[in-house]
Amino acid sequence: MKKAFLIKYGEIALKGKNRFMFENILMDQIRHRIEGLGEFKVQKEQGRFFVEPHSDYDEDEVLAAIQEVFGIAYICPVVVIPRGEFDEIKKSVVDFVQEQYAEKNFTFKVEARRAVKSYPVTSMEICRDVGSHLLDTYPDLKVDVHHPQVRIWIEVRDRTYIYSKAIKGLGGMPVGSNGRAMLLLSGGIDSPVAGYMIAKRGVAIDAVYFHSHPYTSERAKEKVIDLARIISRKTGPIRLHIVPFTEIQLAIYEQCPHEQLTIIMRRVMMTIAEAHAKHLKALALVTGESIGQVASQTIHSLVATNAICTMPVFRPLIGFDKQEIIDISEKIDAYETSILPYEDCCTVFVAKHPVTKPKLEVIEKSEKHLENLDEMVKKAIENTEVIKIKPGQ
Amino acid sequence: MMNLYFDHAATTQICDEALDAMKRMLLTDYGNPSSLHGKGLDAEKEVSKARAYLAKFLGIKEKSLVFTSGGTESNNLCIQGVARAYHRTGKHIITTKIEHASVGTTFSFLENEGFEVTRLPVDHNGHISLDGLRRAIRPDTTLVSIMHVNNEIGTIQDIKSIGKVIKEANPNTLLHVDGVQGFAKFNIHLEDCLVDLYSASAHKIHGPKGVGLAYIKDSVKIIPLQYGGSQQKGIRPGTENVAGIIGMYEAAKQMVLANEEQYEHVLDLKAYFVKTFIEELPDWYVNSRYSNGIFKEEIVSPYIVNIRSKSIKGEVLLHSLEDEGIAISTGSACSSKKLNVSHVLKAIGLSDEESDKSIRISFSNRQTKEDIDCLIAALKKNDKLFGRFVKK
Repeated sequence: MKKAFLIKYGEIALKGKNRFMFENILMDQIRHRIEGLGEFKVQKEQGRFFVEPHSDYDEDEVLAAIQEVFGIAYICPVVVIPRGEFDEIKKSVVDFVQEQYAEKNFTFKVEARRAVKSYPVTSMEICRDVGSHLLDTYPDLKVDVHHPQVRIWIEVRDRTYIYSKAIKGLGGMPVGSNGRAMLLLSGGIDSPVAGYMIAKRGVAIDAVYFHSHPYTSERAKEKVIDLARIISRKTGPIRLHIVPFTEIQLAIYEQCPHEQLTIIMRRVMMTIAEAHAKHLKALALVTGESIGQVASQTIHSLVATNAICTMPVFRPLIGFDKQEIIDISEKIDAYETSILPYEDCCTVFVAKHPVTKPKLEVIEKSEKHLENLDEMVKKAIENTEVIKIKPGQ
Repeated sequence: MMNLYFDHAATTQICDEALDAMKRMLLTDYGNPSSLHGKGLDAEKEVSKARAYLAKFLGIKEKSLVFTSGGTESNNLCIQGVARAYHRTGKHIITTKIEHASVGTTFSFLENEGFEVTRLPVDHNGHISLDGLRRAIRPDTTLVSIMHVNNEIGTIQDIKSIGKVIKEANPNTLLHVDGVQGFAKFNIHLEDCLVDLYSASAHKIHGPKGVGLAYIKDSVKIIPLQYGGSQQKGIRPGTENVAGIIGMYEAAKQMVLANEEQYEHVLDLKAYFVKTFIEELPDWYVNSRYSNGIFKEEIVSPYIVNIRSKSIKGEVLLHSLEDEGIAISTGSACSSKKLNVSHVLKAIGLSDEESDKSIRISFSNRQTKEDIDCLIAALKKNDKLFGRFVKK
């Protein structure tokens, strides 16, 4: 029996005339993700995709890879047979049960679908006849049409597909179907989760990280690269921009009121992130901010930080509690890396009592004290190191 | 870029003699010392040769020397092994507040297991008080563990007097010495000093990593950490790390051959460093003991000096020196947001803030005064670059 994967997609099924565009992007994403795991043919067929192997492959590996693609509702490992005579289908279902289930003592229901309406047996008849044939072959099986332990699906199309397992996908929209945004990535818990959530809506992600060498160590930088690599398994390739930030940070530290340091710093970070975003034709910024989490994320602070931005800033975690963020972080395997104890640039010179209700006019006035800010920003942008991160490296 | 390594207390480059000997053991004399055939016998002979040499150097009997995987294992074997073997005699054990983690954590573990632990304080130079030690010893004290040379500030404890004080107070109390930073750098006759257990490591003296030794006096009972064959009398079963042992032997031999001369050289180096340091960086401090630039070699190791700046975090300095190809060390691993506080510096009376600004520089006999000049120049440069950014 020939095996394959049937992929059902979620939200993009609701699209109208441009649905094919989303489908094509999703197919590309799937092809990309399983590259190197064997030879596969990925094709579209009436609202689903089929991934058919043409070489040896590891089923778990392929399943795990496809599960990381946004836009997929379910993945079903299927058995494919020629459309054939009905007797052959019955025989194949018996073989399928034989192979998939060691203990044949469960309750089941047969669900049939006929995409080819010219097939001589109706869906109802398929269900009924296959069911009784199974009962004849395996007398310990029982039918339960309301709460079966196993649902056996038979889909008659160009060929016939038999399956009984549907593995949940991540949902969302395929990456690349919704433009590009620039993620401000620190070494913490929040920003990788924010990147993940925006990518889930089909947005391609690049990232910017502010490095304050020697105040932040090479290990802190490695940690951010690792985090980018972890989320890139789902978001796809990321161009990680490592911005040298020491000079600016020290200038702010020396020339601005200490309690405003973090706000001013974040405003400069936004400016630099925007410049890099524009260069990559990204249309928005993404941050991991959540209202009230720290002094620089009070609603007043967010207003002061936001005022410098000309692009929209997406803050997908804005209404999340820390624990909710941690739960997602664990789900995407970023948590263990996020909690490694390397100092990031935000904590280096943090004030004991930072402002929690900054006034924009006051902040803007303080910023005027900064000599050569424009030149320093320009220099930081020019000296940014870009690392290309691909999933699976 | 320069390539200056001032972190010899962490580890060292292997010497040619050790490397060559190890290569020979791995390629030619690769037998298992427990095998009955000729190849096994050859390997056994090599191990015996190393054992005989090292035992003689340490002033102990050959049969009381056990090869291990390094300092941490030796410390664990000696401390856990003795505390458990004598727990019916008493459950009181003594150590100091400035031990290496492999001793400190082992004591904490035993404390959780129900042992009573006394941790002796030290003065501002890092020395324990002999009177304090005498007073701490009780009839049920089974073990005292004190390090020879401290790994962060280089303080040398007077092991000979310590041995005497312990045996006068309670002849049944055993003395363990963590000798990792002193081994083959300072002459110590363990039997004369009344030491019962001792730990050493190869990679601090230009030998390979993953090999060390433990001295366990033959009259001392010990419970092994692991069980297996009858190698090393069952105290440390498992096939001997023959190449490592020979590497350790060769490295120790090189240290001992050049001992006097290289000791003088390192003594000179540190004196030169401190003199230049005080002149060039008057705002900075030396945490290790010195007096008038002349070292009392009985009191402090010339191999280690611990300094601190007025304002720069040790870790920041470390990363900045790294850019110029200079390797130094801070007390312990970095930790975000919290200050980087060394338990040793705390014990000699430094505040958490001072400890956070401290770095350790450790020398080797292979270095020169020119290397020191480069280091001082780099420190000065950093002082100028970052010194004014005091944490508010």
